[in-house]
Amino acid sequence: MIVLKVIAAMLATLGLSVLFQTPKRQWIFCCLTGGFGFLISAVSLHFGLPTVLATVAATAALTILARLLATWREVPVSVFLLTGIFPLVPGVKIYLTASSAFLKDMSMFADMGMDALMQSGAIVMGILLASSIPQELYERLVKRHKVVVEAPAEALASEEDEVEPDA
Amino acid sequence: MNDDFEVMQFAVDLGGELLKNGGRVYSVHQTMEHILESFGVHDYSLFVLSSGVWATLGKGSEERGSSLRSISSNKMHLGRTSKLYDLARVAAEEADRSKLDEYRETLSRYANIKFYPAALRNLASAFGSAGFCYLFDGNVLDCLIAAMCGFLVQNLIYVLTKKSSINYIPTMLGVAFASIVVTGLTRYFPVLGHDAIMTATIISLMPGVSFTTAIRDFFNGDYISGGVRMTDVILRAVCIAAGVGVGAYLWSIV
Repeated sequence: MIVLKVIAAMLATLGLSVLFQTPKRQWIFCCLTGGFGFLISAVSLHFGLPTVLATVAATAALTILARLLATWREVPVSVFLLTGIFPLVPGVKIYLTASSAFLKDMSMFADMGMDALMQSGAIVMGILLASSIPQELYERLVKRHKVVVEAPAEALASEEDEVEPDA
Repeated sequence: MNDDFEVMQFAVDLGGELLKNGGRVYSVHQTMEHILESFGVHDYSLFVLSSGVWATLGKGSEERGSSLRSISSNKMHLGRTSKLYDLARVAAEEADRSKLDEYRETLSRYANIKFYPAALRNLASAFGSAGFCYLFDGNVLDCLIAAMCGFLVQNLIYVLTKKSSINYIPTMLGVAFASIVVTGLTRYFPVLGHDAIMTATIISLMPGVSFTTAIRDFFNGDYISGGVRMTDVILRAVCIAAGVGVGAYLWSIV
């Protein structure tokens, strides 16, 4: 069951990777990040952690993976972080908050709104925790030192990603 | 002095493009600072908001020029931001003033990287909606319906975005369409799970990431950007609520 859910999280992340226009070569890594974050969250909840703590743990783990991948793949961390974090973002709660406001269900509005706020706060805490680890450590972990680029700008311009399909 | 001004304009153009394509205020500020310092420009002031970039050379009565880029709309394009950060890194490491024209040309090319074709985006939305529906405890049938609705909503929004100059209208109409279809289907086929299908269909329109980013901005002490983002979140949430309400209301009077 959990394996299927992780696959679903990866599929969902793939969809968002395309919608957010991430480079094709990074799609598989975006999927891995999304699946990994969801897996950590699901395992944490399975072992009885409250939702907020499970979200902090999952987001911190996901951010560490995203930063490792970003260092290895030499792309901004947001490519993996923004797409991978979506399965943890309280989208349902935001939806229920908004719809209960329209339906004048103020008790549901307050409950869901507060839950969404707490879960978002937990995501921020997770990101901040993982961001406090120095970049040098990530670079050492991927056995790579800060890249000294010698290629001229036009060499970069000719890379395959520049020629994206037409809208 | 003119040289310094050219460098500053390049940094401002790059910062503006980064913001337009989903760059975070904090990292855009750092990137611009890095470029200016690498080129030996030290006497400057920078002000970056999610809605614009402003830079001046010199300070107070000694001011020697300023440059401003206003960002009226931003659409997430992580492919462009990746390339633009690459360019920033190369430019800062080379710090070659004679290559400024080349950098600017490259910037213009990267800023115009095309979006993926609409068909691929619609398909991605379908896959994404199906995946999220399963995560929200939907069954296989729910996932299929969510995929179909996700495909249709994305297509509708793509068409409406081209026609409407107001950002929020396509979102509201897209959600209203989803609400009408999903509420209608679940009314006649009660076996379907309304909340799972509905949420999965409109998940890509949810301001979840903006909400999180706004709180991050507040934590970083960037209250103005956080406030701007939070306003966007509230407006989007209102549009979503209105869209959901339209569907619910229409079916209640049928």
